[in-house]
Amino acid sequence: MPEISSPPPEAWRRDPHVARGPLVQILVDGLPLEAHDGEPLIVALGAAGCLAMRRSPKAGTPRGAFCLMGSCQECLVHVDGAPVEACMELVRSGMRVELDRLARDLRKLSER
Amino acid sequence: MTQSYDVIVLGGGPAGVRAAIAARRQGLTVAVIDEGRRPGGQVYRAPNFTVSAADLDANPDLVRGERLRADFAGSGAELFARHRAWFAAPGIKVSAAGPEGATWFESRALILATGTSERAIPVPGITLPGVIGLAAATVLLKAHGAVPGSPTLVAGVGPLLYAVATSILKHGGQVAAVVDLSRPGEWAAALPGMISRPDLLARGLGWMLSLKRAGIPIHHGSTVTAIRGDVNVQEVEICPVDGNWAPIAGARRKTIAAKGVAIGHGLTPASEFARILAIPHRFSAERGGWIPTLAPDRKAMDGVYIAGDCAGISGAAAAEIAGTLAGLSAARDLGALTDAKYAELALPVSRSLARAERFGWTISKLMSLRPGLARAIASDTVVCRCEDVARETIDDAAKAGATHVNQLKSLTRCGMGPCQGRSCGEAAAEIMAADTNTSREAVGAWTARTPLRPLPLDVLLGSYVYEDILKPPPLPA
Repeated sequence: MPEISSPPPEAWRRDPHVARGPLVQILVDGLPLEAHDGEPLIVALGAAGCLAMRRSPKAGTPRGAFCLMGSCQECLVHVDGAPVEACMELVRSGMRVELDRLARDLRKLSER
Repeated sequence: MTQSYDVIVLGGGPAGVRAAIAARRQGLTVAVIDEGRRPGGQVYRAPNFTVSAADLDANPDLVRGERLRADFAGSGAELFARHRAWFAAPGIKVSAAGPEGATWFESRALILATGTSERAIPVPGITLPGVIGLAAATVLLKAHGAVPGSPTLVAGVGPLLYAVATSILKHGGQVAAVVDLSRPGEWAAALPGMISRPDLLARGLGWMLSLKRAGIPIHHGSTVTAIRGDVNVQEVEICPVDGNWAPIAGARRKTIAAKGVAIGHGLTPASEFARILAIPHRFSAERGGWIPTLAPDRKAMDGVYIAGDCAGISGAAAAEIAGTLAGLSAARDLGALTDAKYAELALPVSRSLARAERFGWTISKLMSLRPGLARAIASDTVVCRCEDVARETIDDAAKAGATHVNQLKSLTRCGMGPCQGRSCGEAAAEIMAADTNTSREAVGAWTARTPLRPLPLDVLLGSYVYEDILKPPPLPA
């Protein structure tokens, strides 16, 4: 997970003139990430350059947020164990985010 | 848990909020069910940050949105925020899943104001992370105050192109180019219809002017033919189109470097609730696709009214007015308004609706999908994102005899994934119409299936004691 201070060029950028909540820490696949309390999770991930949330279940191609309004289901992640759309979920301190868990679970099942 | 109201409104955008206020004003109890945290819908979406006076000065949509929210707050109508309606039946029953689990609603009238979905006709690379919808870009910019990967290429059709590109610059991002399917002549031809809202027309012209001034290249009459990159967007290939929006074979293609893409090809009505209620639909390319049939007073069937873009794309201004009309009609039918009083209140509303629709329909017509775009989809391009169904699989289904999109769905799982065909429906239907040499009318629309949104089973089940469940006696051994 890249640091917020040096995001890659494809990362989303927060407008510095917009007032946001205080910085809190969340965990993304076990790694700490600083994010603003109350901002959409997708913005925290996007601003860190984490654009791929998951892989498509059949072809396994990387996917990320597309509609940003809870319709397309492409940004589905797990937060504290439950599947949620990263575009509809808000950041709160200490939340545990898992990317691509569904595909990993499916792979585990097929390896049995 | 069951909640009873006189009127249930599905959707807290401009149409739903105005419908709720109008019905509440006549003394009815009203509940609005919406996925968002605050009323406003998408066009008037409430920002996720503290709004400053400067923000309000710069953005008339924000002013309208704040007014909409203030009016709603003072109306006495109730908002069930973060609630996802997933079922509706005549009678009227509605079910929604919220943060505290499932809630059943009962009402005497139902007003559908579920808005629209964005259409995105796939091109190679559209599933790359970093490629987002044009409507998604507006959410990212105005609600979240963030810009996509920069420079961003903004592509598709309609005024959103210019709104998004201008907003990216305003929020400190860079724009690689605007790629507009429409030609300047098509914009010029739309001018007479846009005169009815000089304020909106002036705003649109202002966007174009500020992009010109910033030296942003604008490619009219062009489309994106490929988005390339290994894990992220690196470059975008564009090509001029003919009058049907088909890329012109042999025309010189241009490659533009970009780190993000916002792409959208117009809007299509989100009429799933009207479809599960078996309200008849008709196809209207100019109004965005399949639209429910309804009377001028917004009544679609006994106790059910429809307002806003889910009844056919008309824009946010028309949606507010149609919402008011739907609320009044529901109040009349529930006996809260006499016919005479209804006529008095509805007449000026209907007149201003006609004016607003003139503007909205002009834009909707400009954005209406032309057949060349979907016909040009390459055989290995993924059309159904959820199930990874490529164009060639759809072609094979048509060759095997599928003539309707529901047959396509059964044969290929196209449209059967978690988005329930909202992302691919338009492209799949266009391909089917082309493959079977018929029409959008002939290939039909997906049958809407409940739950209309993905729903965790535990939300549906709620908490229960196993012993309380009625179980059939075991079969004799």
